[in-house]
Amino acid sequence: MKYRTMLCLIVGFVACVSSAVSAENVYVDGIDAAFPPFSFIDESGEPAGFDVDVIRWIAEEMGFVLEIVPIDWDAIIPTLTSGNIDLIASGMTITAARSERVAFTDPYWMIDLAVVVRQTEDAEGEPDPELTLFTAMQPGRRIGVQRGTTSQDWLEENVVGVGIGIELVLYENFLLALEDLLIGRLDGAVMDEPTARSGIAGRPLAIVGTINTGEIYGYAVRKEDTEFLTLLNEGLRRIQATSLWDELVAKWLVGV
Amino acid sequence: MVWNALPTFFRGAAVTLALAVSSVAVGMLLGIPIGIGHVCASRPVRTMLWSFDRVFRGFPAIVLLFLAFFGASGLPGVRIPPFAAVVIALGLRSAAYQGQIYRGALAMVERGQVEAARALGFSMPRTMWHVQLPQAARFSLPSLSNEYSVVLKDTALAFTVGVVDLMSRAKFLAMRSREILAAYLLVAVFYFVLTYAGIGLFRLVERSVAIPGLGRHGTRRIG
Repeated sequence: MKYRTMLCLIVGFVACVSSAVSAENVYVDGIDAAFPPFSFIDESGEPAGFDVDVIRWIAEEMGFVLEIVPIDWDAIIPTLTSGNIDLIASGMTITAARSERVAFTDPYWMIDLAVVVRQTEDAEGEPDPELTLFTAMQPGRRIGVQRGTTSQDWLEENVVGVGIGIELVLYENFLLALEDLLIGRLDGAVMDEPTARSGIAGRPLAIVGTINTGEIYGYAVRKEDTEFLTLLNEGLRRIQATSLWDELVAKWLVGV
Repeated sequence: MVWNALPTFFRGAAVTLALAVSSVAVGMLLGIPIGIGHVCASRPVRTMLWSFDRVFRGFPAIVLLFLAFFGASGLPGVRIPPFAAVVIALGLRSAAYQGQIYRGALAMVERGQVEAARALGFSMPRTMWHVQLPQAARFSLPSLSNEYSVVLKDTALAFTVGVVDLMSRAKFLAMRSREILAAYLLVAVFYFVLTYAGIGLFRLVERSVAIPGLGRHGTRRIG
């Protein structure tokens, strides 16, 4: 008898959890928990960032309930396609490879990639980056990137792929790459430029160059969710027409 | 900044504890019949049980986790929420390990007692229920506290499928505050406390159910 009660409890529990997630009109937004300034978890444990603010506004405007959950970036697309989240609004670049698996909204922001190196001060107290953009990309240099990002793709294609023997080191998160850069385990790191600016703030690091990829960010949904996609695009159109958009850009994306 | 995040660590600890307890419970639910089966069942059943054993002890926890979370979702209409995926994967794995624990615990019961019971006319099921299981239960407690300890650490993988547990709170804090060492030391303390609180509980139970004189095979003597 005790076993049956246990079984009922477990089944009931699973049913409750799954029904809570699939309730009417609740959309779950998966974010990278450590991707400032677009999405991150702040000190109090709450989601914050440019994309978080924007998507919350869109949710309120377009009338759906939004739940934001942090997801391991490595698993974020499978988590979307398997139905456990409904949306990725987290500084995600639109790429051909990703477009095969998910559908993207209209672009809402454009970025380049930045190359970050250590920086000291020279004799006159002027900032003195250790390497330049070009000396950083030479054979033998250890360059860190976040796994599964366009930085990794670009370096693999345009540096490693053309025979320049840099050692590409993959990290779970770009902040870990920056930590290793500070320690000296890396010679440089490459990442999205706004996040680079956020990551180097207050540390002896410098951006010594940008890689003009002109990549565009979009929100990702499952391919079959065409109505939701239309909803999001309309929401984006609306928010970009308001002054709130400029305020958010100024708050999060300009001069970090 | 590290201290401000303390409340979030407590929330994460609650989730981790829930995951660990649920997984061990599932493991117990399935592990007890499996353990008994290893001892008493017919050969074909025992072969099946060994296969289960091989599968769930043979793969790393994270592989089982991904299979439970992504694999099952490949089937149409099936959607397993992250928390459930963790409990299923770790629970089944724990069931395999606990099956071995109970098999060993049953083996520790003196053969003579079983023979005496049968000689007195107890049927096999009756012997199991009145003679073997009560003793085996006490013998299994030390190993069970070990299993709890292991499962608790395995729950640290839960964030890979989206459950915001104690480990992920440490990650968030480490990233946000850049105090990597402080954040991970703090979470280590939390895991330590959770582990030893649980083990302490098991020892309390051991002491309270101990049968005087039943000490030679593994349970603690009282006094």
